[in-house]
Amino acid sequence: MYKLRPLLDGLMLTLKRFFSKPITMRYPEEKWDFPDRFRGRMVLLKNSAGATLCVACGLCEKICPCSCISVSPETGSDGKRKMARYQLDLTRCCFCGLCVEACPVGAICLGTGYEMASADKKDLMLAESILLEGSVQSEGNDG
Amino acid sequence: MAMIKLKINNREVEVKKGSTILTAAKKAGAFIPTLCHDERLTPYGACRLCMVAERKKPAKLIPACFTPAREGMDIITENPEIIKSVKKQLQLILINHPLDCPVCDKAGECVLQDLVIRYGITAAPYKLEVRHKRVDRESSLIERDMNRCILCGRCVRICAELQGRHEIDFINRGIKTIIGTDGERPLDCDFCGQCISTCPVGALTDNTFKNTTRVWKLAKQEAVCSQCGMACSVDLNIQNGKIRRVTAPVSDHGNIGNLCARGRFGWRAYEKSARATQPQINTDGQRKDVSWPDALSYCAEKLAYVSKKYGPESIAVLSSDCLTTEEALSYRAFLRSELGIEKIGSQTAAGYRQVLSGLLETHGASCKIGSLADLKASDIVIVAGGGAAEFHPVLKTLLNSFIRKEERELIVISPWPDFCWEKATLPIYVNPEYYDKFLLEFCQSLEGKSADGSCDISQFGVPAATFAKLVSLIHSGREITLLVVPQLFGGSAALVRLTSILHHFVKTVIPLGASVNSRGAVTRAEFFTARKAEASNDSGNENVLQKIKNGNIKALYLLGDDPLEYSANPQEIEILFSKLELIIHQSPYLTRSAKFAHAVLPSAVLPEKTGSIIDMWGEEHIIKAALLPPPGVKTDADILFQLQNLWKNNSAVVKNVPANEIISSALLPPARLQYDRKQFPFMMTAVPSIYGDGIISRQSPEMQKLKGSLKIVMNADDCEKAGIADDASVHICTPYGEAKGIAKLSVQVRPGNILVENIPGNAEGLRLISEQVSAVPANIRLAGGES
Repeated sequence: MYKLRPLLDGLMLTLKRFFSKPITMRYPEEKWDFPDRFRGRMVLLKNSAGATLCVACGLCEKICPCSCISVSPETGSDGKRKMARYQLDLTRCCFCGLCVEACPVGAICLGTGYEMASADKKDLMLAESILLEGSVQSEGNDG
Repeated sequence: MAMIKLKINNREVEVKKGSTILTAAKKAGAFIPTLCHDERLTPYGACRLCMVAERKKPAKLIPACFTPAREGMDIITENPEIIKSVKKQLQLILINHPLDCPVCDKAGECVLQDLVIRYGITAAPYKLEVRHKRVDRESSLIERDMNRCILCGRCVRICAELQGRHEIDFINRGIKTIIGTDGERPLDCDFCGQCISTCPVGALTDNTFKNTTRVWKLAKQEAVCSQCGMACSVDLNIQNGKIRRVTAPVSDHGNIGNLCARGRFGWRAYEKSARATQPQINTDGQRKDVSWPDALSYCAEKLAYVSKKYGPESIAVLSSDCLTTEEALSYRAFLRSELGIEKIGSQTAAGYRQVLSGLLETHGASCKIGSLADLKASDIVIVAGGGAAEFHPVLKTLLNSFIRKEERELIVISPWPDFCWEKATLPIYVNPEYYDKFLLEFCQSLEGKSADGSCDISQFGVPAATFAKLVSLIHSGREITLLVVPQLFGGSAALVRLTSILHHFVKTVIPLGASVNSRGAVTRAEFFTARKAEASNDSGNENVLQKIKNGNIKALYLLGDDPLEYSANPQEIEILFSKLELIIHQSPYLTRSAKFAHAVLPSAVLPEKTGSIIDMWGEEHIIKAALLPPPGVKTDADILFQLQNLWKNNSAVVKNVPANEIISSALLPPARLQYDRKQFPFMMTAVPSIYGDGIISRQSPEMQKLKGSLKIVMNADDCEKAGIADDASVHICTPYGEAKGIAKLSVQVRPGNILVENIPGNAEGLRLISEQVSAVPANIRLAGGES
């Protein structure tokens, strides 16, 4: 009898699991919920008016350890500095998040995108239009 | 000079008597924070950051930038008291300084930013409601954001002390103090940008640089400014092969970081958009783009043909003196040995060459052509002619520092109130109508030929007492430097004569009005020879045009020069050009002559070349290519190299062309124009513009915008009589032609005189003048109205 005990224990567990919710996710039909601090693809943030927060100060570009960011400024209609171009090279990005730390206006954050595989390398050169896509509106811009 | 010894942080240094503690500390390698100090300016002591203490009294702080060093001082630059004081001072400055570094173009080279980081200022204990101040974005080229200003006064002082312009000053009192212009109008100044260069924070910004990049992305490349003969050292700030801005280096080799508007803001003339980038040839009235080998073989063939058919005398070469000395030498060698051409003229630097050739002719190799050091060391500077500082704007800073020392005299003889004239200790205004006559009279009185010279002087508008003082100063035996300023369109013979006579009385002579390598082209490459045999009267180059008129010249090789944009009566030259068999237009730019050229060869600008140049002070600069020429552009040296190769292959082909006799279809000499003096009540003088009249300045969009159209400067009373308001559109007519321009009122200009700026490059304006006389009678009327 004592020899059957482990077997019954195992069957018991199996039986328990049989009635519990399955944990296997049917990816890619189903997607994860992300923890807050998930380090996914970069996102540029917009203000409540829908304009980008980035002022093209170039600090992210400077601090980036793998030199994957290039940003160029222009003069806006009000004479102030404004972002003209922003490019992020995903083939080089190491998702260290230093750009987020360096940004003085909180214009960039690590997003939740992780499906970055592509057949064409050009797709991995993200322009500002892609980086701003679906970006969340930042509440309280203190820059 | 007496030296004193003192100790800085236990290190002994020796400095000149009268130096400040800051200078001594710099020599000792000790760091002292400063915000309001600029080596170019007199000490001011506004920011109170440079506090140091004597070892015996560590709590008594003294400002280092303002306190003269004493013999035996024992200075410490850092103790707890000093650091506390500096930190407190920085915190006080930060009350009124916005932390907008991310959008400020100064970030990265901001002195305040560096100091805040160095002293670890993290807290801002003092709070104050920040007053919003005005941002001046209307001024062209310079943006002034008074919110960022820390009121160190450097811009105010550099504008007054070095530039002598006094455009900006402190306005209001106390907390409301700002730096501004009178009535808060936009800037209307020389746009030298000296204020930008000295601003320790981002209150003053270069508009051509603003919001284009960040300073840490720039690589500084040493170069030489090619806008005038001063050849100031510049740093081209380059990012990815593109100039972003131009700054002036401050180094121990005499560079003091001064630049003018052309040098600082005129760099867009080097950009591809302003340039010619495709060789072209014109066959049967059709201009078409061709490859380099095709264009060059066309040139070689045609040159050989003209040379064989009409002889070597039939080819003329005009250079704008922007070639390096090495290039100039190779061109000289090629033109002399292969084509038999002895002289290479210049239209742009015609006045300079005329004066220099006059000197070389009369005094030979022993003539005393001076250097910058001579100017600085002399007691008296005589400026003969108007527009010295307009030809070479950085001269303003030199002359302002020159006259600041005691017992120095600046004598200016000018037919119009230019910058130097206003600053002179002995300004001599000569009525432009009699300017040449005055110079000749002056020559005679110096030679002692006319005993009654002083009696006649008053008819030129010169008081006898002033003239007597001038003569006595010349004979005073003090060290004199003579700056000779030629007329904008070629020097007058009288000026050349005066120069060679004054040569006996002065220590050095420095002719002005040079292009960047004029002195190298003349002294090193011998673009014109001053050998007695040939020097007859052939050193100028009006003769080139005269020879075309006479039909002696059949081919014209333009090395960057353009007579159509820089000589009187361009329509006539256009007609002459259409008669020529060959015009080669080798220039970085498609200037007006390109339209008439049979071949257009785009060449490189100076920052794209390697070689050496000699500036008008006689100093040699070694230059390295800082930029790559745009595709399709070759340096002048490359062009010559390939041309020479083709020449060797080609010369055999044309050997059997029979030599024709020279056809002389003598054109009429310029008729003495008959005119009624009543019809032309004014005297017009063509004057140089501070924003540059050279070939490069004319191609810079920034400078063009500042210059605008033809500027007609008149006496305010004359304007009132004629009912002309400031900025009114007016017509000016002379016996030679008529042109449209903008009237500018001035109280400095004498009644009856008119000054016209921006003539070079302006086809209408060039019609007004004559190269024979310095001043032209003129009349003026409102556009679309009666006089």
